[in-house]
Amino acid sequence: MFARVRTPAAPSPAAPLDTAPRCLANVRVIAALIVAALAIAACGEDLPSTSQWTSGHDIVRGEAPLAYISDNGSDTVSIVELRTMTLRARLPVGLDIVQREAPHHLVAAADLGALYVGLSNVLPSGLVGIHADHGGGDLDSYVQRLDIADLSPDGWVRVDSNLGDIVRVPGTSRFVTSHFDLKRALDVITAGDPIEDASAALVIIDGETMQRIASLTICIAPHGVVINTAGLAAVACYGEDSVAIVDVAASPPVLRARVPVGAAAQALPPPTYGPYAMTLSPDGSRAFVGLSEGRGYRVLDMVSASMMPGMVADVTGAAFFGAFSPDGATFYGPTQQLDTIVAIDAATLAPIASVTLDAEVCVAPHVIEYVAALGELMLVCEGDHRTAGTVVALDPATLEVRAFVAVGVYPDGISVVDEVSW
Amino acid sequence: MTRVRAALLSSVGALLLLAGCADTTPQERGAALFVAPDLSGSPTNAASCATCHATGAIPADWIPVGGTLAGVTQRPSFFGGGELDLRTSINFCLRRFMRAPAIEPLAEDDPRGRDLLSYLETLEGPADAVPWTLGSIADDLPPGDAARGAVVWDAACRGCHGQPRTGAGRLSSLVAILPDETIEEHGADARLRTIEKVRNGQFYEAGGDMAPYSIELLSDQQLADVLAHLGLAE
Repeated sequence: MFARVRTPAAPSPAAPLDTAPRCLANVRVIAALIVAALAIAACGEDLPSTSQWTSGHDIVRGEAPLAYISDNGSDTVSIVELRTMTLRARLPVGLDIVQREAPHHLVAAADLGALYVGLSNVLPSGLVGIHADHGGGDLDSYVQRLDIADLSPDGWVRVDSNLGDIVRVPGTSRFVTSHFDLKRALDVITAGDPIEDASAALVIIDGETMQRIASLTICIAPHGVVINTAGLAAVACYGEDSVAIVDVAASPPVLRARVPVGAAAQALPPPTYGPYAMTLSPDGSRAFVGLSEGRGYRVLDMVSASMMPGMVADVTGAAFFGAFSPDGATFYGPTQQLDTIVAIDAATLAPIASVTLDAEVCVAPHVIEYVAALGELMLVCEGDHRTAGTVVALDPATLEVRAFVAVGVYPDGISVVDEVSW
Repeated sequence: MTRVRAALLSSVGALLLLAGCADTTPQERGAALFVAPDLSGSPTNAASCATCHATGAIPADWIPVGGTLAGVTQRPSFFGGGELDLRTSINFCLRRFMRAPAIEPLAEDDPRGRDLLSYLETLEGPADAVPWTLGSIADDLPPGDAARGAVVWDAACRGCHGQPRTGAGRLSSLVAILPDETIEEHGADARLRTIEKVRNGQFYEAGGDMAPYSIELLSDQQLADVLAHLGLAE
């Protein structure tokens, strides 16, 4: 076709329209040929799409300090501007868009530009299946890394099942996960297998490479973890009424001791005390052990790796994750059923104050964080596990509620960032 | 004559342009991909985007499991807020519901994906997030009506499963014949398993390719009616 148009017929002298000079006619022919050539060339190619994908992840801005809250029941992380108690965003997390993965506790590491979320892969009560309830799941858990500015996914690593807590090793980019594996314990006991098989592990991951770098079996149903600056971890072992002392700075990590939390400690479930939550004092010398069955706090001496005699604070409900005042003099603890906040003299364990929270403000208090920048306590309340939970700002001196804000369903973890550079 | 020849040549060029390029706009290629099972790259996949999604107002006689995609490119999130990224959502569909073997079936620079996006951008609709709630799995549905269930079956189930008991007209031989295969596999649990499958789809280790029906798209009453139609009444 191209050859044919390149060979025009001789012009007819009688053509009435052919009145232009011959050179001009040639120009027209050449122009026509160019148009045709362009047309032919264009027809061999599709018009490319100019549409552009967008990530959908916008930077979440707000004034520091910002709190990141793991919403176990809605598979989200809520970001709260604490100064104004404003919910800045509630964004989805997890590896699977559809399946519930129950984000359970989290660590915001602004220096690494990342948020590390424990995906426990268990479901709140009321749903059936292999996910089961906290501690009863069959599936492996994961730690997901998200960009701290916009919560876009940035990596993951598989750990063991029934993730209980995630804590950063101070001064490093390593993180420790505990695994509240009640199912393993009950399966072993039911089957009559050796009780050693009932113990679950502490897993250590590298937060930069997102690789699993160590695993150490420590005790039955470990949950709350604290780690001091020397790299010594204390882990609440719910299923055997003990606290495991682990050197996570050593390579490989070493189990130093398993310390019974009281005289009536049980080596097998069901526990008498049910140590569940751990809170480290500001100087790292002591850890308060929250007892979910024994309804109280007991104190671990991190230096001697022993429980401190007589240091027992009885409370009216299951004892959860607390906080210290900056000077370490006062301990604040949340309890469930009854839902209260208690203030305790950290040196003597004498009660200072106790408040029962209004259900409209807080149901099932789970964890307290002291936010030095504001001089306030931030309390995370699970709620009824079907509707939104809350974050509550409390006056440390009076335990009065200053403000509260609704977050996602079944919130259970808080991590605060003091400086925002994004 | 030269002008005539030039005009003719230009016309030929224009015709070539029209004939050769009219069917290759990104939107039209995207529309073709929308109905193409082979977009997933799986030789055993029979579903396309159009199997599960309407592109405008949902007709009265269809309950598409994925709802409508009208306005989808303007939405702030997808899967009921479970994902913020449209391309990630599409890749999730391709992997989970269309058997795509690749981890990322449509990479960011894949021209097929951008053509599909161009097409989706033509589907005008509300820019709001669409509620999409998965129901809890419970065997306490209201009593069902078999006659109503037959209508719901035609609107929601027949497109993939074909005729009950025979599977006639089903999407592919890999799609279960209901309720027989469920009864064969699960016996007395067939009713609960069917509820679980409808509400959870393939998720939570259920397996298969099915997408879950949200309670916004398929009510508990409609599900109960389908169970009655299948003879799986409580």
